[in-house]
Formats: sequence, structure tokens, C-alpha cells
Amino acid sequence: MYVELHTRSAFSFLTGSSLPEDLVEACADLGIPAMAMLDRDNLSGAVRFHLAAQKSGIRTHIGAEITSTEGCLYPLLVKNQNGYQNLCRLISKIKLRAKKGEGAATLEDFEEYAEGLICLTGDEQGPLAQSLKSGKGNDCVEKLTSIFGKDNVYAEVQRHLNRAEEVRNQEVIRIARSQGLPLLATNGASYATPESRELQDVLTCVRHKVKIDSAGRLLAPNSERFMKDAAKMSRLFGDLPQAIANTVELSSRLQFTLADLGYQFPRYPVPPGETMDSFLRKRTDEGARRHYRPYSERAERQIERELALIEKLDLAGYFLIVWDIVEFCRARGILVQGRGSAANSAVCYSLGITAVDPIAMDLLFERFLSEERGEWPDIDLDLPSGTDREQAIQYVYQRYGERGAAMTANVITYRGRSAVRDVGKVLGFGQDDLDRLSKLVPSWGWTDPEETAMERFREAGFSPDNPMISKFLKLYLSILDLPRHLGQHSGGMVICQGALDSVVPLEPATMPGRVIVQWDKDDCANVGIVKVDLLGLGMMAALKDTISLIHDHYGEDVDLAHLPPDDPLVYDTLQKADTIGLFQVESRAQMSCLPRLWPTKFYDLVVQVAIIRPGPIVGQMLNPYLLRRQGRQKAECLHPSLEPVLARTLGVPIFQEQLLRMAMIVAGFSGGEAEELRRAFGFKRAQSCMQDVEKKLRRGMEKNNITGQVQDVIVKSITSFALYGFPESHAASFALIAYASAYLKCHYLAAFTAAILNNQPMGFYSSSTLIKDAQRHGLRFKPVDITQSDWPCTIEEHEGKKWVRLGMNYVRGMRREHGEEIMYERARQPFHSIQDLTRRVPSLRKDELRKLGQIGALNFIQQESKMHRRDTLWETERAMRKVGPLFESMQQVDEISPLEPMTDDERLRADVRGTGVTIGKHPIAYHRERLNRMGVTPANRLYSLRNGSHVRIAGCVICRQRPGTAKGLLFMSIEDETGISNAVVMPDLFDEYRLTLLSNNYLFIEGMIQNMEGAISIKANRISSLQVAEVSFPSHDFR
Amino acid sequence: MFISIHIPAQQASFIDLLVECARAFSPHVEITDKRTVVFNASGLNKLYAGTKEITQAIAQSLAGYGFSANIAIARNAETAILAARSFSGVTVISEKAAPVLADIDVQNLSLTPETSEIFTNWGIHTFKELSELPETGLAERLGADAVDLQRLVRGNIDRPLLISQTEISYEDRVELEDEIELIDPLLFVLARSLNKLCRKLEAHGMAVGKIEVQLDLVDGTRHHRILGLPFPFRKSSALLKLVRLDLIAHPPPVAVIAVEIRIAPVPPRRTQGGLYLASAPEPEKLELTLARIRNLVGESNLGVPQLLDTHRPDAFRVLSHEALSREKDSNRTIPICQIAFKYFRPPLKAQVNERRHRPASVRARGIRGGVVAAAGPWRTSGDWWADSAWNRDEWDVALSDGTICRLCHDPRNDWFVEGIYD
Repeated sequence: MYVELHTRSAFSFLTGSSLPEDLVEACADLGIPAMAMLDRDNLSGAVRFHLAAQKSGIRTHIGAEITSTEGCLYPLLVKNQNGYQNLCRLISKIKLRAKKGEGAATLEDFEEYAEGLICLTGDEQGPLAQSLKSGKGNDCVEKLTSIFGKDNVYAEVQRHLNRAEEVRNQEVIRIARSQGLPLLATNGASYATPESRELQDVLTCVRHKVKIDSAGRLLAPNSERFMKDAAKMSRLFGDLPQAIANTVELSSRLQFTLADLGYQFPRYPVPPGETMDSFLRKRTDEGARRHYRPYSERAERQIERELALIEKLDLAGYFLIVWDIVEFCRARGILVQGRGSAANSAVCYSLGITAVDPIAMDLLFERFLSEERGEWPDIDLDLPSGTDREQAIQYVYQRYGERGAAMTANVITYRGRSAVRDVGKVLGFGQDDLDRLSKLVPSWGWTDPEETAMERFREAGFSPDNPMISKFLKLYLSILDLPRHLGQHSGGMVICQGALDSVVPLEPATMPGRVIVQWDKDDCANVGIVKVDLLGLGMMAALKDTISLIHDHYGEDVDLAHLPPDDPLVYDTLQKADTIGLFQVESRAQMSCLPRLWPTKFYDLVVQVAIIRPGPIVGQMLNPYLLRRQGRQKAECLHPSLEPVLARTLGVPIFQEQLLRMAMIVAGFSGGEAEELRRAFGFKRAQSCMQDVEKKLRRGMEKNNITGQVQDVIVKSITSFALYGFPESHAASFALIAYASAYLKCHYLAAFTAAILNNQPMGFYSSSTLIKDAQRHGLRFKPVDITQSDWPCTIEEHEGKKWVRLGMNYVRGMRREHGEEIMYERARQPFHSIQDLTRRVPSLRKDELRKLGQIGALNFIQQESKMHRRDTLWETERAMRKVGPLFESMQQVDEISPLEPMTDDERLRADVRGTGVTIGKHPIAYHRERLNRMGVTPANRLYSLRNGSHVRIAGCVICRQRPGTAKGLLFMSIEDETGISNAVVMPDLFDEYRLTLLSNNYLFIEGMIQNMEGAISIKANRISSLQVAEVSFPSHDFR
Repeated sequence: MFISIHIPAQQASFIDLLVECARAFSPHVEITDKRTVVFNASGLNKLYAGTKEITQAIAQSLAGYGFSANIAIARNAETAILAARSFSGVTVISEKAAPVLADIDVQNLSLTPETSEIFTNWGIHTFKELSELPETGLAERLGADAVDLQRLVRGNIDRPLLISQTEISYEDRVELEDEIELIDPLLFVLARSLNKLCRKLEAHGMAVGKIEVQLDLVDGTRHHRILGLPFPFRKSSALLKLVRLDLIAHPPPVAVIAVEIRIAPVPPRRTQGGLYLASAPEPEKLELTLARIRNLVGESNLGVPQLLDTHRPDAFRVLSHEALSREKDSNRTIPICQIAFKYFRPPLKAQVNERRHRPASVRARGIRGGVVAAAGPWRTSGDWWADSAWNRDEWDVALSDGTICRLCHDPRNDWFVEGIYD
């Protein structure tokens, strides 16, 4: 028998070329009972290794190769929990004191953390090999045994049919025998099968930044680092049978697995005489009485049920910690709202973690917490993106200590373009070829699943018969999904009782002041580490800013928790799909659905948020729901037993909770089993798992006599959620924000617009579209003016109305500190000339001053006379030119600028280039007469046209979408000065006009109008480019 | 009076012809850029009746060379250049230049990116708009350079021409009265030319970097040889010997009717010998010796062997002097050989009997015996992305007669003895 005790996976980052799952699979196929994975300076792949091995029935041994300051790698294996903790601490220590991606351990570090670890003498990069070069092999072994203890050092021998390696092995054997060290045969496998050697060579080149034909001896000498079975290893070590036998002996000494992680969620400090349970009960009770008025018996019962389960599962600490973060935010005026499944909990609602009442909405608690699942609940908190969110993150760091909390990692893997670039570069492709190959990888838009990579290559002029191209293709496909490096997850934080660095290694993130764990959020969840997601939401920041602007300029205090419900203006706006800038309901698809869904109450908005998702769309639930809502189809349930679950969505399943309940009712699933089903369908690579669950579902339904077509329809409804459907609780949380954004836009347009302009980029539309939309709603804007503008956009009162003043944050290339310096100097004393400005704000750079001049921000600097933009540009050049000491004291004579004012077109160009927006006319407005002659209908008049009539539209493309759910259809939004029109391009027309559609910013489209209950779109049949302006606004292109 | 000629972009590679054409009218020609020349045409008034005749003569000459060029005549060089670049055909600016140049785009001037941006910001697009800006205001903002620009677009700038020097050529061509078939008479002709060119080089303080010998042959073809020298020198006798050795190695296929020699001049080598330094052979002599050896062993077999950075066994290349000096030192270490190994080149084909997948006996030319000890296989493979991919196993075997040799075994199942351990 043989146990493999030294392998590297792709998580050694560019050093191994197989995923842990592939190594485990190979191990299982070869009949190896246990395996150790030793990635370089990290345990990033350990959880995936552990889970894959669990499934295959292989025993796992944890370890790592640790870089030492001597320049060699110490292979360390974990013996017990203490050893694991030491290994985590050792990696954390060397990582946290160095720059990202660097770090090495000193001998003192090894001494400090040696307890519980086994050290191998290593391969050609190991400490012994290095010492042998200088003839100090014995000294090295003595050093290792003094650090790790004699029983914990093994003399490692590997055989890869390499002459130099064997010379070294003979030395190792000699030293081991002389010093009484046990010999250990290992294979040093870096990949599962010999074929992966080519990828290994490519990764080596990426790591060393060389092309393959000049990599020379950096590449492997042969393909022998693949997984080998006991027979092969025994043959290789026929002269050293003890070295093989020792693998089994050592394996039996390695008792640690990730199941014994020793993780403890932090205990929440409670006042004397209280337990965490009692404290949580009190806080919940207080909150429930505040939120439930009256505090109904039903609510009380539900809360009691939840608290009992929380107590049973010992989760009170978790709820209190999240409550503590929420309280911190509240105390600092930071908007915070829980989302996701937490909104299913009445306890979360009572504690103020979520804003949705699960009892009123009849939400399923099991979706959040279930005894059967045995996993931690998942609470995600939405915070305003930017400094507010950072404050919350820093609070968690401070509260639990640097070693007590960290962000989760995000494993950056090879994707289409990065794979093309790295493989192509290594194979020596030129820049032109790389660009062409990159274009073959779709960055957005739908791709025909029938179209293989091979065909795409052929179409692009790369012959797959060319050996280099076929090699490229093979390597490209095999590098996909391989980890490239560790990044930082956007908001997931893990916290721990005591030292987190003894549970998982920590390392610095690229962002200063941030620390990440080496596992991603799924890994953390899989080994039971609690995660709190502190997610930044642009709209939360915009809502917070809106409220503050309302306070300052309207003299009103708006409380988001107490907005008037069912505001008629809000629903009128939603029904008309007048939703640009609103949260979640502003997209082209949402806008085309709103007039048909015709929301009249909050729950309709919850449905609206959830229904435009791939799940309901692919499951063909959208149209039946809309037809039933309009009374044009009977609201029948799939099965009478589903009536209670589906009645409120008119018999059509829309939410994930409904899916769970359906499974519980029709197939007799328990709450936990139903949740398992959701996870199976949601997980991307669980084909076999999906089949198992589907079988179970069908078996359950058959028991309940649900068979035939009804069974198939129910299965299809449920399986379509694999393509992402919203949980009802999540949709409800989002709908609350959507309602708030709609309410604020309807009633405080100036404040809302200024706030969303200050929080860009966010949402679906660019700033220019948001401004044009606000202008159509009657809001007026003032340009950037350094005598008035602040850094952000602000509100001004003119003629009794509120105007939005563009801020200096819209001046491209302007530095914030320079803008603030201008504001500071202006507050001390107004500027009286450009000369004065440059003298008092000397840090302003030439390009900033010129940009300010170009966009007219200096026009009002001379209080006595307004200048035009070119006057200021004339003056700017003089002001910026340093005069010599001789003329320094000389008063400069004001002269009249000889320059002509800018034309309308020049002003438009200067505005768009300088700020990305224009508050003047829309570029299309300058051409309206010509367009009228061409028979073009403006966007705001499309509503008056009959369904099916022929129409011509023209404008600036602001969105192109080719969703996977629409099989090749292209949806476009075209903006003119009157509004936005939508066009649909069929796949054959798309192929015909591909270049025109994708490379022109202004388009002229002829087609047939489709008016579906107020949702207007044009089915295009002829498309051409339109010559309008040199400048255009960015288009949001996605799939 | 200055005349500028500007040719289209597609004819830019014929600038030498343009200069030649211009020199027919004036010895003082400035090559302004790859498409433009300008020259002082003041003297032409004495040769031609008037401006019209001058331009006609130039146009005719240009047409003879196949050029379709713009010609401009003005009172100063810059105005002539601007006009030739901007207007097609013939432009004559006899009086005020500014009105004629008024509509030219300012971006045609060689502006810095910053000045170009400033003019765009100011809405200054034409020469007229630039010329109308107040001179003091312009100077205050953009300095003296901008004032020069303004004078330029007003046609008010006078400057001397930057006359282009004719390059000294080291070429000699001899048209032979009778064709030469033998090498010695040919060398006699070559010696005369080389002597002449070396004297010229000496006079200019230069040496030979490279010699090109071009022989026109009776069949209308050309025999072309290039000799690069590792060290510059100008001893004509040594050069002649080198050329002789080269021509012996690469003789012309048929009789020669013309001989042309071109020499690329380089500064001579300057070295100072140390008093206690061992004297090295003179470079000329060394080069001659190498040339003789090259003639004997073949060009590709002379040079400095260099191990290649690869795992492929026995991979090396032979570098010539020139290539060696271009090579950068590799910082990758070459493993030190512990036992001397003698390679057989080419390796000896062998018959090997195997027992339990190990060699048991070997038979090859001069080598024969049972294997008493064997180590291996040592496996290497590489270049999997190229045609030169390899994959093979090696065995180190000790034979019954005491020979220790290396066997190699390739995927086609052929065995070879690659060499023996000394």
C-alpha cells in the first residue's frame, strides 16, 4: 500500500496544473487510500480538497510547502489540531508582514510553530537539496530535527526518472541511514495525469513571464509528475521498500482533518446575570413590541418558535453580533438593511436587522434557519457603498481584533480573455493575433450553444488544423477555471472567537488596512465558519444622501422606515414605467414589464422585482402571470394541493420559497430537504446532484399520486430556479429600497437626482441619461461653476424652484483635493479673476484649469462681467504662464479676448468630453428638423401609434442587451431628446447588421411598432448609422 | 526666391531622386523631410526668362523622373515649403503670402501636442485665424515660439537653408573590357579597387566594417558576396586575401564582366597593448586564419560551441564571432559535469536485448558485451509545442568488458550507444 504525501494543486498558483478535485479523483481511481496536498504558502485549496475527498472516501492530510528565507521550500504536514493551528499561524505571520504575494519564514518562525507538524526534507527545492549543494546535508538534517524533533522529520525521496535527482537521492539515503532518519517515498505530483504536463509548462512560463520557446530549463524535464499508483511507486522504489511502507506509517500518524477545525463563533459579551440567550430574548422582545403594533399572538408564537430554535442551535451569539453591527450603523446614521434569507426571520425583523415583516408576508422561516441543515444562517447587510461601509468593516476589525476578523477571499480563476492572453503570450502569439483571439471570447451577449470554440476559431481565420492553433485551443480549454490568484470578496467577513489565524491562514489584501482569509465564502460556509456579508449598495448611499439633501434644502426629515405606504404618485410612476434611476425596476426589461403588471400595491412591487429574473423567464412564468393578472387567463394552480402556496402569485411559482413549499407539499420533503434541493439546483457543477434530487422529487410526487404531465410541469417549474430566482424575502427587501427610491424621486426630484449623480457609477443608466430624464420631469440644472459648485452636485434655489448644480466631481481629470481647495479659498474670499484663482490655488494643474475653461466653469469668475468659454481659455493660458522675476510685480493689463465664442456644437463637444454629460440640449435635438424630414417619430410620440404600424426611430444607443434567455435577440434602448424608445433586433437581422449595430453610437431604425398593453417596442427590419455628433454617451452593453 | 518641391506619400521612398532632380537646378538643396525639398532659386533668373519658365523646367524634369509633385515658389523658404505641402500643382507667391496661406489648417504646422490642444480650445483652426491673434497676447501666453509660428503663417519668416551634405561613398566599379573566367586576373582587378578604397578610407580616418563584392556575370546575373569583419581594419592586402578566400569558397558560376566593391565604413579599432600583456595575434591574421579553416571545414562548422538552455541531451550550437558578440550572457547555470563523457557523433546504432524492461546485452560497432549493471531509465521530453518535440529514455550501463556507456532509446524503439564515460 502507498499513501501520496506530497502533491501540489493548482492552488499553488501557477505551480500546479490540476484542481484538488482532479487530484482526488485520480487518487480514488488509482486506489490510493489517503493523500496530502501541500500547496505553496497557502491552504486555499484545502476545503475543496477536503470536500472532494469526503465524497470519494479518501482520507485527507493537510499541509503546505513553506517558503523559507533561505530560498527553499519546507514541506510541512499537519499531525494534529495543534499542528494545524501552528501551520495557519505560521502562514499568516509570514504573509501579513510582507507585501501581497511575498513572504518567507525564518528559522525562528519554524521553531515557534513547529509543534504538531511533520517536516519532510523536500524535493529539489527542499532544504536538504539546497544544503547538499554546499556539502552541508548533515548539518541541515540536524537543524531540522532540532526544530521539529527527531520523530517528526522524514528523509524524502522522489523519483521522476531524472539522473540529477537520483544523485541527490543517494546522498539523502546515505545521510538518512547515518542519522537514523526514516526514508519516505513521495511522488511530488503536480498534476493528475501526464497530459497535464503541457499546462504545467505553460503555467511555469506565466509565472516567470517568459515565452515557451525561450523558457529552456525552467520547464519540466519530463512528464513524470503525475499521480502514480502503489504498484508504480513500489516499482520505482523497489530498492527502498521501507520508504513506501513509511508512507502508510506516517499517514496513520496524521490524525487531523478539516472536520476538527476548532472554529468557534465569538461569544457576545452580555451584562452580568444574563446569558446570550436571555439577552437576545430581551432585545427581540423589545424590538417586537416596537415593530408589531399590535404585537399579535401569531407574531409572538413565531418569534418564540424562532428563539427556541436559535437557543437549541446555540446561535444567539451570532444574532447578537449582527444586531451589534446594525446598532453601530444606526448610532452613526449609516443606513443598513438586511437582505437575503434573513428577511424570513421575525427575530431579525424585531432586532431591526431586516425591514420586511415576514409574518405579514407569510415568509418561510426554514429558508433561513433549519435544524436539519446543520449550517450557519446567512445574514447579508446592505450598506451605503463607500465610506459608510468601510466604517462598518473597520468597526468589525476593531471589535474582534486584527486576528479575529477578516474578509473572505475571492479566488480569481482563468476566464475567457485572461486565458487567451496568458496562453497566447506563452505560445508566442503576436499582439494582433492575441487581440483577434480575445475578440473570439464574448465579453457580453448571448452565444449560440451549438457554436463550438473550434468553429469560432475557424470563422475568425484561425485554422484549427494548424498545430499551434490546435495546441492553443487545447491549452485554452484546460486552463479555464484554474485559480490565478486570490482576490478580496466584496463584502464577506468572517469572525472568530479568539484567533482567526489559527483557523485559517490570513494574508493582506491589495487594499491597505484589509486582511483576507485564504478561503472563499463557499469554503467558509462548507466548514462551518460564520460569515456576515457587509455589502455596499450604491442606492443605499444615494438614499442616505437624498435624505440629507432633503433635510438641508427642503427642511424636512424623511424616515425611510416610515414612508407613506401605497403612495399614488409612486404607483402611477411605476405603472407608466417612468422608472429611470429607480432601484431594481429601471432596466429595459423591467420597464417593458411594468405597464403590463400594473403594480398597485407593495406586494406587486415584490413580484415585479422577482419576476424579471432568468429563473421565472426560462420557466415561462412571466407571461402566464401577466395574463392571469390581467384576467385573461384563469388563475389555476399546478395541483390543488398547491393552492395555499401559489394562490397569491395567481398559481404561478415566482419565488424560491414557493419552490421549497411545493417540494414539501407535493413530494413530502422536509424543510431541510427542500433547502437541499434549492442548493442542488443552484450549484453550478452539480449535474449528478440535480439528477438525484429530481429523482427524489419524482418519487415523492408519485407517492402522493402526482404523475404524468402535472409532475413534469412541477419539476420544470422547480428546476428552472437553477437559473437564479429570487427568494421572496430578498425580493421584499429590494422592493422596499425600490419603493423608497421611487418615493424620493417622485417627491424630491432635485435631491434624489443630485444624490444619484453623486453616487455614480451605479444602476443601469449613465449620468447623461439620468440628467436628461430629470430634465424631462421639469428639473433644471446649473453647470459646473467654480464660484458656486461644490465637489458633489448640490441643490440651489432659483426663481422659487430647486435646481441641481453640477459639482466639480463631474470635471474629468479633476482631483478632489484641488476641488476642495477651490471651495476653501472661495469661502475665505471670492475669486475675482483667473489670475487670482491660479495664485490662490497654485496646486491646480494646467489640464485641470483648461478643462474648467472648456466646460465654462470659469465663465463667472469676474463678478463684474461674464466671460464666454474662450475668453476664459484665453485668460487661463496667460494665468498659467510663469513670468520671470523681472515682470513679477508688473500689473498685467487686461485685454479683450480676440477669440470667438464656441458654437453650440463646440459647447456640446466640450461638455461631453469634459464632464461626460450635457445639461444643454440633447445632441439629437439639434437635428430634429432633419429627422422630421426623414419621417422619424420622437420617443414620446410612440405611445400614440397603433400596434403594428410602421415607424422610424433615431437616437443615441444607451443600452444593448443580448440575454441568454432570449436566444439571440438583441434588445436596444435608443435615447432622443424626448425620451427612450426600445428596439428589438431578431437574430437573422442582427447577423446582417452586426457591425452597424455594435460599432455605431447613433442609429436610425425602421420597423414595426409593438404595443403590448402600454409596453412599446419596435421590431427592427432596417438599421443604419446616423451622422449626428462627434460625441456620444456611453452605452451599457451586457447579456 | 525659394522653390520647394513636395512629393506624394507613396513616392516618399524616392527622395534621393528628388534631391538629384533639385540639385540639377541648385547645388544648395535642403531636404526638409522625406517628401519635401527646398532650394534657393535666385540664380535661375539668369538662366530662364521668368518664373513661369523656371517652374515649367522643374516640372518637366520631375516628370522625367516620374514624379507628380507640388511646386511652390515664394520669397522665403518656409512659405515655399508650406505652399508646396498645402497646394497641389504649381503655386507662385510673388507678393504677400498671408492671403494665399490663409485657409491652411494650423494642424499642418509641426505643433507640440499642448500647443495643438490650446489652438483647438481657442477655436483657432486656420492660418488666418492664427495670424490675426494679437502678437503680444500670444507671446504672453505661449512664448516666443508661438510668435515665430505666427510670423510663419503670415509668410514673414526668413531663415537660411540647412544644406544637406552628400554622403561620401566608398564604392568602386570596374567594367571589364574582356570577360574574366579565372580567379587570379579577377583578383588583380579587385586589388586595384581595394587599394583605392582603402586609401580613401585612410584619408577620412575610417576603416572597413563590411565589404560587399558584386560581380556582374556574362549571363546577365549577379554574384553577390558580403564579408563582415569581426574587427575593423583597412589593410588592403589582408582584405584582398579575405576576398580571395571567400571567392575560392564561393566562386562565380560563369565569367565576370564587371566588378563592383562597396565598403561600409566604420571608425577604426583603437587599442593600446599593455607592456606586460601577452600579445594576441593580429586581428587581420586571425581573421585570415579563420577564413582558411572555414574554407576547409565548412561555414557552419566553425565558431564557438554554446550549450543550449534546454533539457534536450547534447543540445548545443556553433556560434560565429559575430553572433557570439551579439549574444547576451545567460544567467542560468549549466550543471557541472561530474564524470567526463565522450559523445559519439553521430551516435552508434545498437542492438540491445532487454530483460524485465532493462538492457541485458549491447551490440554496436566496436562495443559488445553483457550488461553487468544498469541505471535508468532517465527520461526527458520537451518541445511538445513544436516540430522538434522529443521524448526518450537513457540508460547508463556497465558492460562485462568494463566499458561504461550510455544507451538511448527513442519512441521508435531504436537503440543507440550515445557515448562512453571516460
